[in-house]
Formats: sequence, structure tokens, C-alpha cells
Amino acid sequence: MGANEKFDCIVVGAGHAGCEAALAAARMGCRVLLTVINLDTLAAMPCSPSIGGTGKGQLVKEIDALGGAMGKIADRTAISFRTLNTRKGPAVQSTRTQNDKHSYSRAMSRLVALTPNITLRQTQVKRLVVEDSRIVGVEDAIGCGYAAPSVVLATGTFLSGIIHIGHNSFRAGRAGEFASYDLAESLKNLGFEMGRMKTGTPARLLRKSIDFSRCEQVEQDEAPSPFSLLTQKLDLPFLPSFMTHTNSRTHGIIRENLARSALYGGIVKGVSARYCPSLEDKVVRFSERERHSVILEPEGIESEEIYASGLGNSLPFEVQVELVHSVAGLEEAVIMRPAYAIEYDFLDPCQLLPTLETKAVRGLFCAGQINGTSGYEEAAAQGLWAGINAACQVQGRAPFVLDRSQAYSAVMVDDLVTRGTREPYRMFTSRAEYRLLLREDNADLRLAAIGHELGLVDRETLKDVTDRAAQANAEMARLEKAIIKPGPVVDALLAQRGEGPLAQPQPLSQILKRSGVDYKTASALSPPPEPLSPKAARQVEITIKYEGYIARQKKEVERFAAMEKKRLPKDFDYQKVAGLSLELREKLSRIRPASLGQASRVEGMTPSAIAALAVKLRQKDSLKS
Amino acid sequence: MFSDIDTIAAPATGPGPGAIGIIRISGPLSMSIASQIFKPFKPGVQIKPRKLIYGQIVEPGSGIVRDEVLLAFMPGPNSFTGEDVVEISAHGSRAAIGAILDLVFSLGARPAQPGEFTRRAFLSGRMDLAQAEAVADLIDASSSRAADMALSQMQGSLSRKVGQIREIVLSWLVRISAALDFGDDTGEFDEEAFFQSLSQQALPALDALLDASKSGQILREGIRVVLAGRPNVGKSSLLNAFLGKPRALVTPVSGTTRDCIEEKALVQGYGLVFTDTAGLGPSQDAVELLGMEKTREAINQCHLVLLVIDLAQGVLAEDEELFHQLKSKPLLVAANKSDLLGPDQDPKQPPQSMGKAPWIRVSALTGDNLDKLARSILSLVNEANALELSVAPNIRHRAALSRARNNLLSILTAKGGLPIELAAIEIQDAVNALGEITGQTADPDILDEVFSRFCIGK
Repeated sequence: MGANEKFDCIVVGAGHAGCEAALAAARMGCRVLLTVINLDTLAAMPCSPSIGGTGKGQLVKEIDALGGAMGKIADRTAISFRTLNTRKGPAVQSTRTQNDKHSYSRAMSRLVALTPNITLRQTQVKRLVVEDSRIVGVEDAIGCGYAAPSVVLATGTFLSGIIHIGHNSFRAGRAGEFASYDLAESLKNLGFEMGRMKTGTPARLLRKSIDFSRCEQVEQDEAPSPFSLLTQKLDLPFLPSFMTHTNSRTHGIIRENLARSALYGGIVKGVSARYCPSLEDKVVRFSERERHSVILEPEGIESEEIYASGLGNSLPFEVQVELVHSVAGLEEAVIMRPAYAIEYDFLDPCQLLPTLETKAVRGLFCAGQINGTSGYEEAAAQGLWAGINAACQVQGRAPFVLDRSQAYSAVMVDDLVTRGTREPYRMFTSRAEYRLLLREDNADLRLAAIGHELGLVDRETLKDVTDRAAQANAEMARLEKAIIKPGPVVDALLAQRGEGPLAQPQPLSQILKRSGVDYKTASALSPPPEPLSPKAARQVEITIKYEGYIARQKKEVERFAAMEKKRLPKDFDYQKVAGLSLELREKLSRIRPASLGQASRVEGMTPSAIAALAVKLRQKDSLKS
Repeated sequence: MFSDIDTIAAPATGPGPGAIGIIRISGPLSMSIASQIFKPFKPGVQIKPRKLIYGQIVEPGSGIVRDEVLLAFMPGPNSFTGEDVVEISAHGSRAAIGAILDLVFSLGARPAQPGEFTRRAFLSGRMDLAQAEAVADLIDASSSRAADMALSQMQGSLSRKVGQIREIVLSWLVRISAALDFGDDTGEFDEEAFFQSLSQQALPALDALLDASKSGQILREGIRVVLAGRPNVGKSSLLNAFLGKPRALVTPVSGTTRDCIEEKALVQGYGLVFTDTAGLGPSQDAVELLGMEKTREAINQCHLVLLVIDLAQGVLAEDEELFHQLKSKPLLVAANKSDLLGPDQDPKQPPQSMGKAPWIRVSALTGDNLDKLARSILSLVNEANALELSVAPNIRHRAALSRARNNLLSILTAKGGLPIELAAIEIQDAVNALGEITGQTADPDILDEVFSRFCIGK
């Protein structure tokens, strides 16, 4: 082994998880080594050139509120913004950007390279060095050793990666990049249980070969609202995406060639996500659908490549050409990069603590696809979580663990470590039981103070957030006291909004609760001494309109917190609990939930099983006292 | 590996002396305890699953014989509790049962807590929560109709009905979640179908169960019948006739009954709670007046009023006056003292002023027509309350059903329509509330509450 450089934390892999982990740990004062197999593809977008989306937008806002980088870089490199679910309520609205993927990668590279305390190095880590169940460092492929008391693995699709195009398969971490087989072996040798997953990506088409006149332009927001608190202006010009559709001919081509697909020809063993189906899946599983939408997304301003979202498949190249040509607008399209499926190893996340540290090896953390997730945002949120915890551990600080009532990222981590996952895990709003409380618009109100405490959010940013909260609170108090009397002016204004007249004097807050009335209308009836910032105004509007339901969810959170407080001792013997099935005893012994609350979320748990645990726990407590 | 799970034991029959008393033992040690204290009479006989064996309880060590018993062994998981269960049928004296239990406890079992056997049955998945409650109902059932209902619930009738509603509601939760997370791919959410399904499927089903719970309460607690009428028409005699024993004092003196007397009688499989009341009429006596006040209260709470008149005296103006005061309640006229009349003197129908009120001629003295009166009482109450039930939710179920109903109503009645992310909350709450009935979504506190209703040995 060569030179033995020493660090506080080594981050293996510089994708969306690795970059956030390295940045967080470094900014918290750790000396960080960030290793990457190919420095040119740092923070790459090997699939869709976009950030955010339903549930994912919330993650990006949370990352930003905690002081992470994804939101800032996404804003800076966005070529269009879109708010999803605008016809539904604020709790389920999410931001999504289309990004210039080359700019994104370059901007993140620059940020990482210029951040003090980070050593960025192109190399391939092949072995973890563990002594007495504790990580002490890593070794790379060129014979160098690096020592550190903490290591974050953020290996993406690189662990034992295999690409499939039809029945042609080859080892790769991504198209055109080396896979990492030795590291996967090293993990197995340490006794970790590994599984196999599959994901895929559609073809990239030559822009000038597409007939956009046969496609529709996709709507975008006229007034974009950026992800990050720090974003003052948007740098890049707008670039549109277009929509077209598959048709019966496309589906026919797929059906005829199913046996030649890697997915359906029995080549792929890994589990793919049901909610992100390949075109083969869509045609087979939703055979009644006559068409599926295809979105043509630009990969960047200076790029001639177009990402054909919705056309992902693992068919042989000549079949891909045929099926692309069957789609309206793509009759003459030239494929620049073929679609492919990729299989890779992941580590069963039930082997992790809620800090994302492995239970078996102290100081070893995992983040991103290695934990069985899918998506840049999911990866980045875990990277931040793991990076913070690595730093906390090295510095002897208390672990950083949020709970399900605080953040989407906490919902994700809790789901992963408690329930594991069989298919690539994606964030959804329906995974969060308190989604009315976990909105994009209040991510900073929820988390900026925590980010500041960690040392990742500066004082001015936090002050902006607390000032806005104070402003909104003052305004809400005022609206409750401002009594509006019935009269022609009020009734005319209400009528404009499709609302009936005022029957008796009412506080403004009550009037704002009517479905047709927004804050602008309400405040016009009795303006505040100083106009509110648009963000504060929105906060007021949402809080008042949702009041009853927010209160209900807060009550549920109290019940939830009570269950989380019932701690299960580390040495709790599940074999001795009457009324638990053998299967649950083994599962609980393996997962070792920290609380009765966490235990209740273990897959297969029933209320009777929880009752059985509660009874045993009470017996234990009464024995002690 | 099961050795750390407690083995519990308790008398399974009531505390009084009886010909037979049963001791139930459940848990991993049951079989080993049984084999240490039980000696079959026939040499060489082995304890076999689900076979009654005749033998003696012998104190280990001293060899003292404690009792002659029958022993049955039900191995888990196909036993009541899902664990190994031993039941010993001994002589039912406190002393005999106590001596055997002491032996059982000395060998490692501990006394069972109230409801613990049923709780274990629930915990091991042998029954759901509604079924476990039905066990208690069946034990407490005081009429055969109440027992039928408890049995049907124990066999899962209520769980199935609630389950069906929960399925409907849950399917919408799934669709709403899909619309929220994949709005762009799954197309628009079909709000019309959603409303229709809630208002025409789920809500009527909930209402039916809520109605049933009212009737179920009547079956559990008994049909309340008030005996009303002028003083000295024979109300107390009728009560005694129904009970088949002289419970109320009967004298020729008007106003003998001053306080309300409540008694339960079993009539054709139903429990009837009769309240014999002070006669309603003009009086200056302070005690009598107080009695009349209580009578009015009993009338308010009853399911049926039995207006008793004296056939020998015929219908008096006071009877008619009383009839008009009471006619808002389901009412039957019991024309008493038929024994005093010849057949030609019999006014078969009530006078015009009493409208179409059912009129039954009876004799409390001879018991004549008492059966017919009982049948009429039942059919009249049944008309108002539909007592032919397959399910009868209890108060706890009723609270959960009402919560679910309110959740659905919030969606159906919201002005301008409830945004679907809020409808999702109502739907989730409804799913949870319905799940509480069967125990699919119940926190430990609810379980404690349910099992605290049981007594020891159940």
C-alpha cells in the first residue's frame, strides 16, 4: 500500500448523494476526501435532465433549508420551471425544473472543488478497511490507502453494474464508465446482505432530426419560484420541452420483440420500480392503454441531445430505432445514445441505523442508490443526512435524526431502515402521513434553524426565515381581530370571487377561509400597516385555510410522538414476547427498532403484535421499578 | 425457546359451588404441569390431544389425592388461545378448585388476569377484536337472542360487514394517493364516482350498522316495558305473572305500589325489563307523587308502554286520559281481569277514543292470554327497532362507526367541494376508525379497554 493520507471522512462516489455528503461534512469542519471514478461526470444526470417533481420537490426544499447544495445548483442551471398539482392544494404542490445537465455537473464540480476541507480525487476505491467492527479507511485500485474514522458509500449504480441492451450485456457503472466490482465484493466479505436492482434510461435523440411541429410544447410557469432561499436571480434562458405520444404501431413493435428485450427475455434479474416502468412494462401491464405520453426534454443549452422521456427500454438497438421512428415527430429521429437497462447491487437498508450508519460496521455510512432508492433528490437528501451524521460522529456531537413529522427526508430514511425496500424507492407525498404539515412552502420554517445549529445555514438566511415567520404570525393575529361589517363593497368583492354576501360582521380570518377568497382579496378589505412579502402572504393564506386540518394532523403528531417515546431497549429479547409470530420475532431481532413507534412500522406488524410488545415492555418496566 | 412466556391458569367457571368447576391452563408449561399432577385411572393411558381422560389429581411428592377429574389437552396453535391449553373438570367446590390451582401455580403457572385468555387468543391472531368482544358478550348473554347475536359476531359477521365498508373506503384512499402522486399519468381523479361510491355504498352501509347498534343495545340490555295504568288495575299482578313469582306486593288497596319496581323476565328468548309503576292518578300523598314522577321518567326511557285497564270496571275517563298522555310511545292495552267477565260482557275492541291501539284481553290471575300479550309486545318492539339482527355493534363500535360517518359527511357536504388532499385525510381517518372495530388499526390503549371488560378465567 502506498501513501497513507489521513482524513476525517471519506466519501466514495461523487454523484448527488456523495457531493452533498462531502459538502456537509466539510462545512461542518471535517477534512474530507471525495473519490470519484471519473472526474468529468461528477453530479451527473444519467437519466432525466430534471430536478424535483411530486414529493421530490419537497426533498429539494428540505435539502436547501438544511444548507445543502442541490436547490441552489438546480436554480442556477434551470432552463424551465413548473409547479405540479397546481389545481390541488399547497400541501401536494411540488416544483420541478428542467436543467442543463452539463451546467449542473460543472457548477457542482466547481462548488465542491472550491469548498475548503474537500480533497477531490479521481480514483476507484476497491476495499474497505475494517478493524474490530470499525471502519478505519479504504484502499484504492492503484495501491493507495486512505485512513479515516468515517466513510460514506454513495456508489449509485456502480456496484457490480451490468448494462443490458437487448441480449447484449457488459459491465459498466453507467454507459461509458467503469463499474465497481471489487468494492461490492468487499461489502459481501464484511457480511452485508446485498440485493440486486434494475433501472434504465431512454434513448437520446439528435435535436435537429426531430419534427417539433408535430409535438405540443409543454406548459411552464410564467413566474418561476426557485428552490433555494439563496437564489436571487435565474441565470439561464428558457428552453421548452415538447410532448408527443406512442401509438398502436409502437406497442405492436414492442410486443413482437418482447423476447429480445433484456427485461422480458429473462436476462435481467434485478427488481425494477413499478412506478417508473419501462416501455415494455407499460405495454404489457397497461395493454388497454392506446398510447403513452413521451416528453422530449433538452439536455442542455449547448447540447444537441434530446432526452426522450417515456421511451425507456432494454430492446436491441435496431428495434429501438424502429420504435422511435413509429412515434409522431420522431419519424426521422437519429439516436445518439441507445436506451439501456442497468442492474446493480444494493445493500438491504434494514442493516442501517436511522443515522444511515451500518449496524455492523461503526463509522460506515451509506447513501443513495446503494440503499435501494431511485432519484437524484432521494440520493441528495440521504447524502446530506449521512454526511452530517458522519461529521457528528467524528466530532462527538449528538446524531442527527429527524422524525416523520418533521421532514420528507425523515419519512424516507425511516421507511428504508424500518421496512427495507424490494424495488427502487421513490419519494411520494402519500408516503408521508403528515403531508399537510410537510409542504414545500414551509420547508425552511421547519428546518432552517436545525441547519443553522448544524453550522450549515448562515445567520442572515436564518434571520430572513424567522423574520418572515414573525411577519406571517403578526398578520394572522391581525386578521383574527379585523372585523368586517356587511355592506355593498364587501359583497361586491365577494361576488367577484363567486362567493355569497356577508350575513353578519365577521373577522377577516373567517372570510379568508372561504374557498373563493385568497389573501389578496381578503387583505384588500382591510390592508395591513405594511404589505407582506409574497412568501409571508402565502404562508398566512395556507395556514388559515388549512387551519382545522393542520390542527388535526398536529394532534396525530402528538400521538405519534408518544409512541416514538416508548423506547425499546437495545437488548430487548423478541424471542420472549408471547403472541409474536416466529417471523416477526426474527424480523424485529434483525431490525431492532428504537421505539414502539418504529416497531409499529415494521412490515407485517399488526396492532395485536404491537400490543404484545407493549405488554412485554410494561412488564419489563414494572420489574425495574 | 418458548420457556420464557408465562403460563397462566384460572378457574373458568363461576366462583360459587357447582357440581363441576373447570380450571383452564394456557401457555408452554400447561402440558408439563398437567403430566406432573394428573394420574389416569387406567394404567398406561397417555394424554392425547382433544380427548377427555378420567383420572386423579395427585400432589407430587406427598402423593395425596386432591380430586377425581376429567382432563382435556388442546395443543396450540389450534386451541382457544393459540397456545397449549389444558382444561381440568373437577368438583366445583371452592376448596377443590383452590387446591388444584395451588398445585398448578406451584409448578410455574401464574394466575391469569381478567380477559387474559381471550387477549392471548386475539394476540395470536385466533380472532379479531370484534370477535373477542363477542366472547364476552356470549358469556354475559342473558337471553337466547342476545346469545345468538354474540355468536354470530364471534363467527365474524360484524367483522365482515365492517370489512366490506373499509374496503370501499380504502380503495378510494389508494385512488386519491395515485391522483396526488401521479396526477399527470393517471388522468384526472373521477370525483363523481368518488361521491357516488361514498354516498350510495359506504354511507348507507354505515347507517345500517348504526341502526343495528341501537337494536343491539336493546337485545343486550333487554326490552324496557313499562306497566302503566290507574291504581289497582292489576299492574303488579301482571308483573308477577310474567315473572312466574310474587315479586310485587298485591293488595286490594289502591296505591300499594309506590316506588318503581324493575324486574327482568325471559320471554320467548328475549330479555324483557318490566317496570311496575305507581298508578298514575290524582293524589295528595307526597310519597305517591314522588312515585308518579319516577313513573314518568321510566315511561320516557322505555321501548313500550303496557297500559293496563280493569275489564271489570270497563274503560273509564281516566284510562282514556292516560292513553292520550302515553300514545306517543309504542303502546299496548292489556285488558286485565278477564276472569271476572263472562264472554258476553267482553268488549273485544277498545273504545273509539283509543284509536287502533292493540288490545289484548288477559288475566293476570289465571294466566289466560299471557302468551299472546308477550308475542304482541315483541312484535310491536320489533316493528320499531328491527330486532332480527345478524350484527349488533356495541357502544365502542358505534363510536368508531360514527366517526367514520362524520369523515364521509365532511367530504360529501363540504361547501365548494373538499380539496382532494383534505379528502385524503378524512378518508384515512375513516379507514382507521373502521379498522379499530376489528383491531386492524388499534393502539394498545384501545385493546386494554376492550379486555378490561372480561372477568378472570375468560
